[in-house]
Amino acid sequence: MEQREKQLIRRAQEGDAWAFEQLVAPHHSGLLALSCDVLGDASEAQDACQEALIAAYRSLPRFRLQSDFFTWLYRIGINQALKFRRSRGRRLVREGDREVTNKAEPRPDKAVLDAELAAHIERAEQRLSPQEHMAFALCHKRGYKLVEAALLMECSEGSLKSYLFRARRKMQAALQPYLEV
Amino acid sequence: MNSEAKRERVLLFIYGELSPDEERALRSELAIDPELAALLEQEQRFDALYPSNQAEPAAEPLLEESRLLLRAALRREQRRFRWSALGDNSLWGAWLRPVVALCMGVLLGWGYMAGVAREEMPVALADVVDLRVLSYDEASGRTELSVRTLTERTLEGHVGEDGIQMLLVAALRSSERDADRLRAVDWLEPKSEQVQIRRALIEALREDENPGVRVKAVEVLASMAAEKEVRQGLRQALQQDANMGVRVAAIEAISSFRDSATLDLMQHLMMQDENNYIRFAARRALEAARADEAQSL
Repeated sequence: MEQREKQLIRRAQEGDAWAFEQLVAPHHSGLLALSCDVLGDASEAQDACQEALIAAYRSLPRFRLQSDFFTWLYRIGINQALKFRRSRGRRLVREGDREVTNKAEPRPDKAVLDAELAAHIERAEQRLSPQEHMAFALCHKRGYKLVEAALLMECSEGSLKSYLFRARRKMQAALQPYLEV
Repeated sequence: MNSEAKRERVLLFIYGELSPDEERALRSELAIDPELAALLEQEQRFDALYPSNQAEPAAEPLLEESRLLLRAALRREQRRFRWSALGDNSLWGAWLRPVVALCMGVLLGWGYMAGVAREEMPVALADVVDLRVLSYDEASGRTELSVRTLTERTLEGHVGEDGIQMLLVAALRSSERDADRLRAVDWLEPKSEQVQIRRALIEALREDENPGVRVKAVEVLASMAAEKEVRQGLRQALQQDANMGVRVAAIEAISSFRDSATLDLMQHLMMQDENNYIRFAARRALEAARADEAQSL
């Protein structure tokens, strides 16, 4: 861990909000993008990212300097995104109007694909379980190695492989008409 | 080797997870194992349709908004932290708060007397164009300020002194440097209930070009939102400010009020505002108001 990062952690542990902002600044974009990947909705992703960062600020006094800050922070971010993803079904039923107003904005990685295919991919991804979706987002979309993704998702490499491979199989089944062309 | 095991090897190959030896072995097997070759082709078709490692970073406007929201949330956290720290220990909390309040009273009273004791502030307050903090001792509250009007001069005193407070009001209105105006809002906070200071803060919220100063002004004014004049200023900021951070801070400050002007504004924002967070916060405020009303019936 760099000296500057250690200093910022120490200051943030004492409640220095400025230090915390500096500390998370290099990771903010990555966390937000990952939340967007998994939630597919910019507004919901922003809420999840926000809650994750505040949770990190609150639990930072318990963070040990021997640990890796990036991994620690991403674990909180990933857990928060998974939590949002799990509760989505219930929330969409309760807040039907919000679902309409907050329809997902086109995501950058899909801008290159035509609209119909993008919509199919979106639907197929939303049918994955939260863990499968996260494993797919980390490894397939963001290029993390299996061991890194397993560390971030706090699961074994074997479980991670199962999530990722199942996700791929489900995606292939959902996109079969496009794969046959 | 069954199909499932073959598929796993193919996928590990695709994601670059095989060692060089394993990769070489797989490549040579592909030539003699049609099932393995078919599996690879199938997975490669999927990768061609949905290429891996192509995700982009978060969009800049979304990230910017997220940073501002985080800043506002962290400020709220800090305030919560300060007060909960005082109240954490019930024994300490029970007597510490009155003692702190008493000390503040004595300190401010001393500041007021010291201010009166001075004959007059040796600068024309309306003409302050620049104010610099040369030194500040947090423990004693003593500060040394450099004030530029027509000529530059140095003053020394306690930040709570009335004279210095009025100087800070002038700096808030006219100092060119953002840092000065931010510091002025900070140091005016303890006496923000004084009409002149309160009005300067409302003016800063309305006029200051720096969003950081406006956010800070909202935070100080939030504690006085029970005042009609303050609430009106906060409502105006919520409706008109160009900066999301200011608007978020403003809605947090007034969302618990139940007067008709505030409830009407919440109704309007819930339906019309372009920002998701504001719409959501407005709806939450209205739901809370309705729940209170139902409970009182």
